[in-house]
Amino acid sequence: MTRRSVTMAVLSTLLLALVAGFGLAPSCSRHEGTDDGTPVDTEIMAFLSEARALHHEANMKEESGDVAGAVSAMERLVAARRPHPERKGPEVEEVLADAYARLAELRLKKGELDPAAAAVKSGLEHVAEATYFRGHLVEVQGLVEEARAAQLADAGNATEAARAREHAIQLLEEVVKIQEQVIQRSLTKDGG
Amino acid sequence: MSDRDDDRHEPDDLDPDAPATAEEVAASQRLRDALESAGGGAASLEEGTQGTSPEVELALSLRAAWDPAPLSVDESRAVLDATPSAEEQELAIRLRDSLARKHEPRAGDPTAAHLARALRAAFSPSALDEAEHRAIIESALAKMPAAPRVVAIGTARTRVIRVAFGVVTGGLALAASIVLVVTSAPPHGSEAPLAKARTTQPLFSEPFKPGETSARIDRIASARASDFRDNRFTKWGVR
Repeated sequence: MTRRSVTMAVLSTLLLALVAGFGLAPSCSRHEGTDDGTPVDTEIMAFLSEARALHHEANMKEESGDVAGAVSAMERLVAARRPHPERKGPEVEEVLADAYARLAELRLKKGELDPAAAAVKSGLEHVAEATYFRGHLVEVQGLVEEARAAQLADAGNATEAARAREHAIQLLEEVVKIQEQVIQRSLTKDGG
Repeated sequence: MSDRDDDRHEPDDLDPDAPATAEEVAASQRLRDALESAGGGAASLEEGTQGTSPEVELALSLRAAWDPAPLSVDESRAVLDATPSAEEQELAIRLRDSLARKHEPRAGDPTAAHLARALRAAFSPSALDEAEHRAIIESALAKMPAAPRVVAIGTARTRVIRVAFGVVTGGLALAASIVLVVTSAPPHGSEAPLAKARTTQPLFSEPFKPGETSARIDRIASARASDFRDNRFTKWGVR
């Protein structure tokens, strides 16, 4: 046995051990792959706290009749610095979607239909799946279109009013579908 | 009853102005005589205290401490006799010089120098200098048998095979240990699972109603605050 063969034997053994070791390892990476969420940490909590504060500020302003102040509070929330910008945290996305929905409601309250529709559109970008959050946004969108239909009808534009009304009905039907999906999924999960 | 008990005390025991008894007068006289006869000086003090009472000894000691007298010629000579002789001083100088030197005591150095040097080396060892270090190594190497320069071919071959088996066995042992460590390692997060960011949908059991947005954020923040606390405790190892 020459030195070269000894060296080859040792290297082969080590290589085999490494391959076997990583192959038999209890799937560290697989475990991480199934659960890649960021732990609830200080940054997420800071964002949630900021969101909570701005919602309550909006409450007080809305109750005192300062709808513009409430709108301002929600605009601050949707523009707030987000935790872990490199990834989309579910809580943060849902809170943002809900904030956009409220912003749209406030705009609607002020009769600002296009900004309200824009807020809904922005909110929908944060919730792609069928959830209560998406359902709520589409519901607000339907209300905006309903208000648009009324506004057009008041303006004597019957054709556009009818189109807007039809769009509103479609959106509200979509809401029904979304909520049924959410409920069905919830029941399936509870049953299974 | 108590009045009668008080009457039992001897009046002389408590009265500071009571006249001295004959015994007290005699003791005072003895103390005065002893102090006068002792005079000054350490020798007279020593003489004066011999065979006297403790009170006299105390009084003489106190006087010597408070107002010491000059030494007499005899006393001075006695002190000089107690000083080290020239030979003793020479030994002390040699010991000091020996300790001051860096190297080990020589054969002619006093025994005390060897002892002091050993004690100092044990208490605070100093670094070996280059020459001393080299001498120790050479001394140790000199005791080893010389390595054979010529090895028979058969012996060399046997040695190579032995080395090969040793290396392969070592490699296998290393491989086994790697497999053991990797396979027995707990999966990440299994020891301290942290609550992850996730959808808040399960917090709500029915579609949202208008005007309840702040109530929803209240619920979300409250639920995640609980998760956050749990995560912190987990990280601190409190669980």
